[in-house]
Order: sequence, then structure tokens, then C-alpha cells
Amino acid sequence: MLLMLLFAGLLAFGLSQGDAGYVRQNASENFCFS
Amino acid sequence: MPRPEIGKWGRRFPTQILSLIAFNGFFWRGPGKWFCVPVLNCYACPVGTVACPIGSLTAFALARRIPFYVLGFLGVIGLAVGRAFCGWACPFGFFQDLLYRVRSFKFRLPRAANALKYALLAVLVLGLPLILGGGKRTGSEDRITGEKTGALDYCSLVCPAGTLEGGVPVLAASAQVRAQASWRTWSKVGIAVAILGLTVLARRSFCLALCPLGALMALSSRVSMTQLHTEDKLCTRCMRCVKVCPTRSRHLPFKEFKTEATAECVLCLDCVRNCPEKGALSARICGKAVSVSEGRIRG
Repeated sequence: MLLMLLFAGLLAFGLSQGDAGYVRQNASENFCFS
Repeated sequence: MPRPEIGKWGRRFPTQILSLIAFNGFFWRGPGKWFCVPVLNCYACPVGTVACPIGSLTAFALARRIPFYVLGFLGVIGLAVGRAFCGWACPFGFFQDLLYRVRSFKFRLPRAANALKYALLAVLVLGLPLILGGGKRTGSEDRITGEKTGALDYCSLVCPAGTLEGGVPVLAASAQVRAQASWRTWSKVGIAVAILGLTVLARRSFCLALCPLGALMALSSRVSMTQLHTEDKLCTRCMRCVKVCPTRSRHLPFKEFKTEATAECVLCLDCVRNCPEKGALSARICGKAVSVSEGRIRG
């Protein structure tokens, strides 16, 4: 349960840093099949 | 050729079909790019409906940012259901399950090969982009031609899932794309064919030995809330669960809850479904049984 809280905290902190937007941007703009 | 021991597929097959549709942008588009769902699908091209965690981790490494969101997202899922997404939802895992049904010579990879995926995670996904990226992402424009140099997301250069689920359909559909395809494109196709060929012979060999996402999820699998449990008094040691296990994560002696947890179990529940003893084997979430062997299959 402590580990779950730790990862939930990481997730929440990442969200507050705008990480989700960075993920979406990279996953939308970069075409990895080259 | 003898038919391999693979057991009944059960509800996993329709779930995998639905996942293939859900994670494939050929069928629909949605807001999924915000989420790093732990399945291996094409990362960024239009055929991916969610963001590949491996591509996302590489992007963070290239930018020299700590991937709090990605690690948190994967950690929460891993602790809740372990590697169940590998067994039930990963499109590339589904293709491997299909290919292993082809009648041919079969063999099992040595257990030592399992360590290779951790090295790939450390070197290809995190190490090289972090060291060589210089905090800048490169190679993001017009990469279909393959002429651009400096692409540092190394996994995308060898990823068989992206090639199979994204590249091959695009190549098949467009003569223009085929004409523009570079040596790198065809080398990726070659790598994908070689890996898929290996999965015909060795069950889930990519998951076991090569998948960096599997390596990441394996870290939380041992301490996941979802685990297998063997009732020692009911188990007859018939070994059927060992034979049908796609990842060789079950082996004698079976032990009690928690200690049975392994890094490689993808919670496909083929062992539970194929167990001939009623109640001998179960999957439990926080100790509560959610799937129990019914003993319908004999022999």
C-alpha cells in the first residue's frame, strides 16, 4: 500500500509538472516508423 | 509436427481482439495520447491510440527530464494488476500467442535470456538517449524517408511492434511510402520478421527476452496486489499449469501466496483455466479470489 501511495504521488507530481501534456505532444508529433 | 501444449484460450482471446481494436488507430481515434498504457503498440504514428510508455520514457530521457508521470502511471498499474496487460491487452503479445499456434519445431529460451530485456531497457531506452541526447530531441521531422540523421530514440529503430502494427500496414497501403522507404525501413522489417519467426518457435520469446516494457512491468510484478495462489492440499502436482504457462513462470515446488509471485507471470490465467483440480489454483487480488480453477479440463 505504501508503494501504491508512492507511485500515486509520483503520478500526481508529474501531472502538476505538465508531464502528461509532454507525453501527448511527443506521442502525437513524432513518427517513429522511419 | 506435434501440436504444442498451449491449453484453452478462454476469455483472453476476445479481450485481446478488443484490445487490438482499442489500441489501433486504424479503427478509431481518441484522447488516449495522454496515457502511457502498458501495452506495446506503435508509439507516435497515427495508428497508435495511446502513448507507448517506452517511447515516452525515451522522450523524457532525451530531454533529460525525470519521467514522474510515466513512472507513476506504470507503477500504479503494475502494483494493482502486475503484468496482466501483457497477457490480456498487449497487441504484440496477442500476435505472439497467435504465431505460437503455428505447427513447427518448438523450443524454450534459456532462463538467462530473460535478463536481456533489462539490459535493453537500461541501454536503449534510458542510457543512450540520456547520454547522447544532450537534452534535445532530434529526428522528429519527415522520418518516413529515413534520410534524417541524428534520431536518438533507438528503440524506435528496432521496435518490431511499431513495424508490425504501424509500419507494415502503411507500407502495404501506399506505393509512395514504399518508394520512399529507406534501408532503415527495410532493416526494421527484417528485424520484425526475425523476431516474429522466433515467437513461432519459442512461446512469448519477445516478452521474455527482449521487451523493455516487460522488464519495467516485471519490477512491480513481484509485489503486485494480484497474484496466483496454489492450494497445497488440492494440488496433485500434475504439472499441467507448468506446461501451459506461456512465460515459464510456474515451476515446482508451488508455494503459498506472495512467495509464488514472479517477475515473468503475465497473469494470462491459462494455468487456472487449464487446472484439472477444482479450487487448486486461483488468482487473487489482495488475497480475495477472483478466478478459481473449475476442474473442467482433464488429462
